[in-house]
Amino acid sequence: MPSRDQLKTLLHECINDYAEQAGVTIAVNDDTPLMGEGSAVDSLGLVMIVTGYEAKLNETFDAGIVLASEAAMSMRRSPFRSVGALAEYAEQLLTEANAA
Amino acid sequence: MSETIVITGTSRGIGLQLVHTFLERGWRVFGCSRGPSDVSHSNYQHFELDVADEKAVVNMFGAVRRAGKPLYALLNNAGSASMNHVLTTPVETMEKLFRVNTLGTMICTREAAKMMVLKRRGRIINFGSVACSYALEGEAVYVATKAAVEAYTRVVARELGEYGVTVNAISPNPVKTDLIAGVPEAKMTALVNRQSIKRYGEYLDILQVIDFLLHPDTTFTTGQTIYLGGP
Repeated sequence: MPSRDQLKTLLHECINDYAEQAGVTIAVNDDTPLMGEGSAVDSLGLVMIVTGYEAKLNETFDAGIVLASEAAMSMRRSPFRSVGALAEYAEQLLTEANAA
Repeated sequence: MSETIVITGTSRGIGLQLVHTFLERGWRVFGCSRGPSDVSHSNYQHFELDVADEKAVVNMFGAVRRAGKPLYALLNNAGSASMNHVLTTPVETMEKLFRVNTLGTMICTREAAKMMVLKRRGRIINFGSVACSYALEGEAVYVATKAAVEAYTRVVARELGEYGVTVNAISPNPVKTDLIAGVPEAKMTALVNRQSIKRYGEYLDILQVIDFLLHPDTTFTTGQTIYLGGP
């Protein structure tokens, strides 16, 4: 199983790629918001980050996870709310996929 | 030009012909159907799956990604038809048609588009039907599933336009395949006579439109539904 740090590093890379393409500066840490007030990422940006992250996870760990699922959308606390939350959610999905 | 393409519904009919055409052109082809494929070629990989099975579709696109060459095109050809009077259409038939024709198109499009937007390049071609424009009696559910595909095509085209991905639909008139095998000849003749050009469609009619939409220079045509044989 990948470590949480590994998962965060991959997510940081995706956010940096997006920031470079969008021409914005994003200080990336666990608390960096990916949506809502105070986020430097707009809704389309979030789509691109999530899409890129999902592709990177599946490629790196030879998995077949889908980040934007009904379960994720209906969670009381969105897993897309921050960098830390998204990495944690990815870890959960990869663990479930491994156990299946 | 040698690209990577995913074609759904490749065990027979138009889908199978498309596989042969693109293999002859040297493309890397990934295909799928609920059953096995007779195609044996080093550039072809077949997946036995239900296009409405999200996990199976995600795994197929995972294999496409691992093959290493960017995905250029998706042809959402898989489809199923059933003739029923609206008063006697079983709910199982409704579910089956929506799963294959509509849900399958949506899941495959989503997974293909995820790969294409990251490369800022791609072509998605969905399959509608002239039965939509004719509001064809006896095909209420089939028409509803294909109308959904045509509407979906327009919206997806708008969402993906800025990422270099075009999304169009081709809506063939009747072509002599298994899809219409159970439809009475008189019914088919009446349908063909509604067209502007009154003849059955041929595989090459469909291929010509696909070639146009797939051409790398066709960058400004998106969100369109092309009805073969005319309205």
